[in-house]
Amino acid sequence: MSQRSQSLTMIAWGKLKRNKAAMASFLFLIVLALVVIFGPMLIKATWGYTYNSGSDLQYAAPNSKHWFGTDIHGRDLMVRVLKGAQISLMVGFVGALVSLVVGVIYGMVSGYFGGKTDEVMMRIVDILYSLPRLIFVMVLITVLDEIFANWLFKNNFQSMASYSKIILLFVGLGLMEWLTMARIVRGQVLALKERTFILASRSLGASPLRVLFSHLLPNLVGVIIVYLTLTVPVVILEESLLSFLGLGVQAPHSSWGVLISDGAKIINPVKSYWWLLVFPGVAMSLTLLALNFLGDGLRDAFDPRQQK
Amino acid sequence: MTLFIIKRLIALVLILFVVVTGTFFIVRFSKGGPFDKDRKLPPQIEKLILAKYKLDAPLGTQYVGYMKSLLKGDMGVSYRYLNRSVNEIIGQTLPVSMTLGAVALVIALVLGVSLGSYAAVNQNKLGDVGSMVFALFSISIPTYVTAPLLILLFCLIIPLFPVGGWGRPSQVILPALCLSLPYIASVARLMRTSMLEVLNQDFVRTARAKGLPEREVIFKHALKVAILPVVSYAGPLAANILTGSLVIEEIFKIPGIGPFFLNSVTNKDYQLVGGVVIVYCMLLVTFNILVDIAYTFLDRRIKLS
Repeated sequence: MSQRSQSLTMIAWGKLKRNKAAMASFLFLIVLALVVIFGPMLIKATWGYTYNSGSDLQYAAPNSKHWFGTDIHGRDLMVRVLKGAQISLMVGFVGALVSLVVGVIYGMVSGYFGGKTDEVMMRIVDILYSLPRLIFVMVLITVLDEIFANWLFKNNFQSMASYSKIILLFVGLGLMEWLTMARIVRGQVLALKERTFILASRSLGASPLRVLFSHLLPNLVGVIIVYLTLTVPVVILEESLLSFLGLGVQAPHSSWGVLISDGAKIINPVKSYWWLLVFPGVAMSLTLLALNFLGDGLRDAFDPRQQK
Repeated sequence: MTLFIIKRLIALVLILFVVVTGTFFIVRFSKGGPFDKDRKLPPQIEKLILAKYKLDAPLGTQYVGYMKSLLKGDMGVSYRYLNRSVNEIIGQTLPVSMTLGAVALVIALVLGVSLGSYAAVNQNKLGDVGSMVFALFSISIPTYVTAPLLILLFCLIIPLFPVGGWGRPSQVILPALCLSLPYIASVARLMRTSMLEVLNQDFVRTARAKGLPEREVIFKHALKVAILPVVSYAGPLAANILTGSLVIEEIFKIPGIGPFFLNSVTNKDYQLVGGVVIVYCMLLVTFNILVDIAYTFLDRRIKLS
């Protein structure tokens, strides 16, 4: 019986489906996304809490009305964890997308043009790899935040002004994490550009731009998906690190990093409000774990060396 | 070899120049100076202060002056910590951060390499799966979650270590361990992949065929080749540990460079920001040169040119 040859993506999907940890993570992430989007609304409808509504119930331990307990202002922690998740996940995905755009373009140009260009461009990547990039991002975000917030305020984006730091986080963290993507894409392009279909396209007179975007890019989709999945948790971690240090997301917004930082501050021997650290910590760790499992699974699935 | 080192040193100077210039202009670009207070100072006093810190000259002159004093090894005076020079602050705090970082780096490399090799040798057995699950967990749980929990466990519930502070060896162990945890994991994963590849190579088969005991095959032959990716990861690793130590210093109240740096960023203490960035970059680039040299000793096929 003849069988239609399967595309690489189909083979990868088939392999991924057999990887239980990756599939479980995938399901977990879908459920998480739904809970994070609709959870706050449901909680508001059921109990009437929003993420900033305080009450007299200071530091209530988890109970039937406040599943995750309450914080210093008597605010329900569950809403805050879910609202924080919205920001953290958004920063993670948008930041990873920024790094993807920069990394893919840089890697494609470097690999395609090769020679001296490639050498210089990759040397720059090597140097950036070994410098404390997060330190630069800290300085950059803090400095630009005031200017950007002011600009937003003056140009009739008042409602956006409080988001200026979050927008800067997208860009700053995205610009930090493009290096791996650039290296991987370059490697792929170096191998692909010797193939006959590229030669054919070039001999028909296609411009480099056309070769890059309509012939090489489609062949890179696999690696791009894999490294996008693996970059999201890294960006989420970095956002929370900056927020933990007080340089990232700030009130009125909150993120997992902010919540963890609030929780970590009040760990003491006399009375520990463990839920303030444990719930945001667990939520974030589970998400990162799921993203890493899924990313590893995807990498194995797209790896032709692991063909069975 | 000498040529290689000279080349890298020139690159070091270039990198530092770019980094310093970039930092200088980015920080100056920000609105408001380091002496903006809620209460407005009388103009004469403000003028005097600006003159004292040479902030009244045009930007170009300030830049040239800053660069000139840097060449003399003088990183200026802190704007916030009264009458303390940047050199002095860094001189006092850097050794603390370096000790913490070095201990963490050694822990990450030693434990990571051991764990990774162990996992590779026992591929697909319980030990392998266990190590890799541990690795994935420690990569996914950030240090600022593990550190407070470990403090709660090992300092408050079972009082093995002091909660924080600096000075005694027992105060180094817990923070260094927390700092190195995610990097133990990354090194272990790297080491496992590389060891698995090496164990399938011909020279390992030869070593086994000559009848060498398994221990010797792994430690004497395989390890030396399999460790190469870990060596090249040591550069980025050091950079990550340096940034990671900012958090650990905050949590464990360690008087390192971290708290000063964080304050200087929020307080616009330009000189201190610049100084810390310069010192960090210098440290890391030098470390990378050392790593590259170490590489040639491990892999004789590579000649530095």
